[in-house]
Amino acid sequence: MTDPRGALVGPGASDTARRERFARAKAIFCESVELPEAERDRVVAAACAGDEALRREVESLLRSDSQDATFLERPAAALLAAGERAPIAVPQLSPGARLGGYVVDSLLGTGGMGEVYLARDTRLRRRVAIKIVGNGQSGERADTALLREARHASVLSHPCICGVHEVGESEGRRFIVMEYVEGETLRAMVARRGPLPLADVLRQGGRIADALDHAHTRGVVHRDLKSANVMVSGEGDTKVLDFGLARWLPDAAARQASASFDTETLALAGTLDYMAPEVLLGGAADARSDIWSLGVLLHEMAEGAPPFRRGTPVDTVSAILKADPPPFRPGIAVGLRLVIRRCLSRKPARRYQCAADVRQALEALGRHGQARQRLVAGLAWAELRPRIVAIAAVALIAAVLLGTGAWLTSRSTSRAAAPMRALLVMPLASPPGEAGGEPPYFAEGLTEALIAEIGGTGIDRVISRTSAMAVVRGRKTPRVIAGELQVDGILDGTVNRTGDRVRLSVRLLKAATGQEVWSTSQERPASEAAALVASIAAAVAGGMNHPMSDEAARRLSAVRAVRPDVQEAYLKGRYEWNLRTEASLRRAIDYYESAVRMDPTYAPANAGLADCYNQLGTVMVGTGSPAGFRPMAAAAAIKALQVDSTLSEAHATLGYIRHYEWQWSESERAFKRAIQLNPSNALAHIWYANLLASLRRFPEALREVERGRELDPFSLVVNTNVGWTLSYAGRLDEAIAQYRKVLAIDPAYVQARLRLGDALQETGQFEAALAEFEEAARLTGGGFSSRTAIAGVYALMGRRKHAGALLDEILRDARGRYVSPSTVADVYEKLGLVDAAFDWLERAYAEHSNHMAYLAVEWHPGLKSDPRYAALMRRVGLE
Amino acid sequence: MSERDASGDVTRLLVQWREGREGALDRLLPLVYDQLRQVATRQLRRERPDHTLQPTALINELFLLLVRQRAASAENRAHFFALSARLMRRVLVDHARSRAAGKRGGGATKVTLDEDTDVVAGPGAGRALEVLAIDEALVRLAALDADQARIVELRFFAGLTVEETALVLDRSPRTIKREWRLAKAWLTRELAS
Repeated sequence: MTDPRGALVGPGASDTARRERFARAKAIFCESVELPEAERDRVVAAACAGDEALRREVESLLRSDSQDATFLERPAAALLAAGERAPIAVPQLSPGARLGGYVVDSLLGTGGMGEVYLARDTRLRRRVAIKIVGNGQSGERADTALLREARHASVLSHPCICGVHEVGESEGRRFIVMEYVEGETLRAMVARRGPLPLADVLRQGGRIADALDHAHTRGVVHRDLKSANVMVSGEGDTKVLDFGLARWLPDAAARQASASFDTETLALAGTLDYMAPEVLLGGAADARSDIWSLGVLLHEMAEGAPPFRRGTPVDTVSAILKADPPPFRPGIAVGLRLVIRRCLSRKPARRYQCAADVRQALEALGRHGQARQRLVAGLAWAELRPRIVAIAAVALIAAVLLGTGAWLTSRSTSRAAAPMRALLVMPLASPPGEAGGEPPYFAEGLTEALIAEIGGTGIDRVISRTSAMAVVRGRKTPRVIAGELQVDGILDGTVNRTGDRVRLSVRLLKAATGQEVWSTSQERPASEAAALVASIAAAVAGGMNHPMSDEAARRLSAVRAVRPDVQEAYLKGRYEWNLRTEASLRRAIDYYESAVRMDPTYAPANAGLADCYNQLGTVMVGTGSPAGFRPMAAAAAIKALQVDSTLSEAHATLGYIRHYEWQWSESERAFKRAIQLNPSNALAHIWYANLLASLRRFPEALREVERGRELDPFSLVVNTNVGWTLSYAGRLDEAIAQYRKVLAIDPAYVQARLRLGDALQETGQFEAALAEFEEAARLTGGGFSSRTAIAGVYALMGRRKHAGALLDEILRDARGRYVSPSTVADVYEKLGLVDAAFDWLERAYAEHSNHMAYLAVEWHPGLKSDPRYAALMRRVGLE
Repeated sequence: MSERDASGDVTRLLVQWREGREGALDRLLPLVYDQLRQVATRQLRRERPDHTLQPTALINELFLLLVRQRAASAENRAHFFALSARLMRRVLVDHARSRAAGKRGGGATKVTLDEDTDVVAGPGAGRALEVLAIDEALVRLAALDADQARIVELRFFAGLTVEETALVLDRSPRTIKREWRLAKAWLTRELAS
């Protein structure tokens, strides 16, 4: 049964049934409605497949469809409003009408505030534009706005601002008389011509910026700058119109008052495309939001469309609020891109702060033409990175971004240029000598010393030796290297030893271009090699235009002479230490000890000794109890500092020791001093990061470890430490990725494998962790650290018997040898044997194992809830 | 209710609504309604040369209102529009009711849109009645197919174009066009009886 309207409603038909019928009818309707009639009937019949009621329904709907095409097409609001008001108004004034001393010619257009007519000034015999308000029944509000506009515009007198002649009234109508500009709007021009050539963008932009500046300095903000408000005359003049919404720059009180939602401005402002984010969010408009609009304008001219325009107003608003830097087509001048991006910074404080700066930037771009554009384009990768700024472009970018207007040409390679901030020191070469070439340690040792000394002058960033070596091995050109490492300067040179004299010749190159900036060559007796290095370092700092602190200068000049054999021993020791294997560490200790024997006051040898002991006492190398080594390390470090309290390495070593002695504040002090003495001491940064991480100060830790990475990007130790810090900070996925990166460089680096396994374990990827530990075991020939790790992961996988058996084996094999107690405790923990675990942790505590310092951040799922754990932490001084 | 008081609540309720929580929209509507009503009033009063309400402008302003209350994001677009359309419908229907109140002699609402205007049947009453009838029919349509009602809300009450509606509902304009025709056909038939 159907009701009169043809709907399929039967008594008792459920809602679901009705909905289903409707859905079927809908489907058939949609399928057939756009077809020609004959075909449509056929399709409907086929689809209904004999269901008569359905077919009637669909046909009834189709009939209704063809009835009134205008039904519902007009939105409800318009419908209601139209019923209440008069229809579209005709222009109020016809040609020939008089307004005071003016005769109306024709209607030019309708703006937000009212109609604009072309008229003739009968007295001065010129054409003018006259703006009046609505329908002759001017509301009070409209009048005030009109007067306000006139008042603002009248104080402005600028070739690029449309002038206001007067405000008048005639027969109850108030009007503003303005300069008449014949031409087209910028909007129309861009719509017609497409993206404008660079010269035009710069010219128009510069003029608009100048006009804005004129207004701003007189306390007037435009608030509605857009391409439709800029006229370009036939003669090429530019005029900014419609300061009609301009407000006086609001003072604080006014800003408070206007904090509420201001519809008037919004509606009148019309297009959202040009609105600055802070204005959209309800903030007051000021000079900087005008500058944002200027940025939008520049983009529109350069690209052909405003940057944030999207399909709907809502999307446009979202785009503006996100304020992602707008993409540019290739070929847009990089300099212009920088200017536009700066105008369109989301934070007003990051934009140009005054329009004059924008004008200067645009002018600068115009002056320096193609060659400079290419230079800037070539350096585009450096774009706005705050810390590393390529020196060649510093002058250009400074002028463009900071709007200083001071123009430095690249020809001046002298002191007038800005200081270089980051340096790569290439390994010093020694020319093939008579005796078949210099032994490697000498040149390497001097390179390292040079790096350290240059770092000591306080230069921002000196890339460490290991990374420099890695880069050299890769056989890339210095320029490519410099790009990868993000440095602005490269230092290379040679070491020449003849008889008992040493000559060091270096030259400083501009990284981006390979151009030589400066060079020097100095010679001294071999015994004064250290002093030679110091002197060269000071000179390099000068060549980089880096002002040295007094302390640094004093220190460099205080370097004393050293006996050649002592020096020799030291350099050999240094060389061995850098190899970082157990065997080489022991050799290094031998060399350092002999140097110290020969000259107990030679501080660097003592410092080096301290480092070696430290390394031997770590779990990483794992060959002996730290309890044994650490005191020796401490002694050596202290001795070194007694002789030379300015040795950054010694302070770092001391910091390291203090950390694992649980003397947190002393440790931090030492690290800070180490860094202060040599900001480029990568190890100091990463060891400091370890301290910070163990104290749960993760953001600082990550900053420090990142700094270390910048200084020594290719170092396995440093990169593994980055992973370590990430791990402690809980960012395990990133840590895993980091370890994998290290292993990609050197698959045999055991520490990274062990750490990777730990991280995988912590994220529950036991199989993968096992694979890593097994590989580590293979590489170390069954080292205990790997074996305990394997046992641990078996325990976690549930194979407790197997894990227990492995542990027994290890303990048997460990009789008479050293196995780190914390690694044993780990296995017991994973087996769930908590008491045994704590027993072994006590042993670790007794020997001051490194592990203890990390109790607050290490992964101990089985122990952390036990009160003994908290007690242990307290005893260590962690809370 | 001042804007500042409401802002936290609006955000919270929008989030709840987004999460599909029961009753969130109902609690939300009155909060935003008041502000929207003020907006609509200003729009209706404004002396524009063509003197028509512009629904899209209303939507923009509502959106900005929400934005200022940190409540909107691009992902919420669909929800935002659905909310606006729903609100517009309420506002306009209430307005229509007040317009038609004289003729209908009853069914007065507590809120009038435009305080100054007399509630007297005038030339606008006919259109007002039409809007009311459409609203009622729409309720019946929604029972059959919520999607259809949504389209009508977006197109008729919020004033979105076919393209904009398609964007909001994430469907193709072709589909929307056809479904819109169906909705109109159905409503035509309903109103004719």
